Amino acid sequence: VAETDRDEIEGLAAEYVLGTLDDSERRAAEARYAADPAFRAAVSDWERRLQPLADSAREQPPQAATFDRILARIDAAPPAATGANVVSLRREVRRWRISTGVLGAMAAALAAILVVDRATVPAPQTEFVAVLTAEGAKPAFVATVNIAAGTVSIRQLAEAAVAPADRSFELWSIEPGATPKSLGIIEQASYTAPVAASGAGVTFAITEEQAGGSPDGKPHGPVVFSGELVATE
Amino acid sequence: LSLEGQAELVVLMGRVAAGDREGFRLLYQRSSAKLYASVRRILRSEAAAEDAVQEAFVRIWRRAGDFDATIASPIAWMTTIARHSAIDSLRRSAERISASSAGDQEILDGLADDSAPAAGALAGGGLARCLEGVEPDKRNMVLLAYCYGWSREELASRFNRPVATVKTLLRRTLIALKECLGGRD
Repeated sequence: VAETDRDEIEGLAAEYVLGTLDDSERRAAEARYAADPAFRAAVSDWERRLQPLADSAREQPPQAATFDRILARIDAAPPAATGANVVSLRREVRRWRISTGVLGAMAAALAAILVVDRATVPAPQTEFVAVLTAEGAKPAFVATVNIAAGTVSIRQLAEAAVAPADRSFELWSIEPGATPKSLGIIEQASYTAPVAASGAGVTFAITEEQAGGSPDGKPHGPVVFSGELVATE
Repeated sequence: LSLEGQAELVVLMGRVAAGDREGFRLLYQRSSAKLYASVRRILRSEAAAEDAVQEAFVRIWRRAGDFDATIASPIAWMTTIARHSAIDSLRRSAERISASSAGDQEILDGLADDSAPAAGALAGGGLARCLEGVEPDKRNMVLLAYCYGWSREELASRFNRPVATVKTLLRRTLIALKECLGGRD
């Protein structure tokens, strides 16, 4: 029986590294990896044995911006902040446009209110806020999500937080482990549209996109400002 | 990768486990081209590959504390994470692999290339020699799974065998490779 067990561990470890386990088998193997030193050792041996196959792939650097995007994802979902209180974002997010009531007064707020789809998952917290900053810089925007009231508001704080000519700032919500979802272009005087509600652990980011926003619903431009949504109470 | 390179990665992995972002940046610099190569081979779409390599490094950041330098090689450990990220993306997407296995011989040739003086190439030579000794269908199953992320189902359909048989063949072939390589731990 011990021999059979060893064969089973060996075969499982080999297929785990090979990548042919199905979803539930892989999850079980990952749990076993964390808990069982013998399995961990078997996996490590298989990784080493088969590594020459990985080495045979032609090395190729990822895009220049990739590392910053990785950091943004990490900041979007620090392990400590990902928990039961993360409210899932709804798939359908429509574009909205920001209202600027005070164009002349740059220091004054560029304020906007979003109508949030009420049918979101109930959250223990009803108000969340994200302060969006460029790295190491002063706050540029503040976004407030009020789930009870069904609103999201975004306010411009910094004078410099204006997109260059021919470009648009686009706001995104980034749920841990998910692709960014567009919350529309920060552009003009008023908007009304349903938008995804968000909870703690979600990051809001503003990217610089082509004028009118990303054509395909995915961010392309650099992240100019970003901040994590946190509960206010 | 040289021994110095390996040792450096082990040190960097320790820094990453401690939450050191500068260490993470260095680890990324040393390893991203290699990991991206594996990911890119599995995922045709550049956008999907970009997403998967990001996901891989997020997982590396989170799991660095699990890395055990006494049993694992850092680059091999990271490679598994990167390949699994790519495979996850592949399985999620509706797009199925329809590619031919035109790359098989190319991969074997690359493995057998002894002109590269690195220790890895010698080990690869050993693996290449052992793979040469495996019956072509079984060898191709292993290569398609490892290099291109093929699932058991895809292999079953391609090689016209039941899925359960594919699983058995894969495991037997891998064990045979291990024995051919000397069964070293």
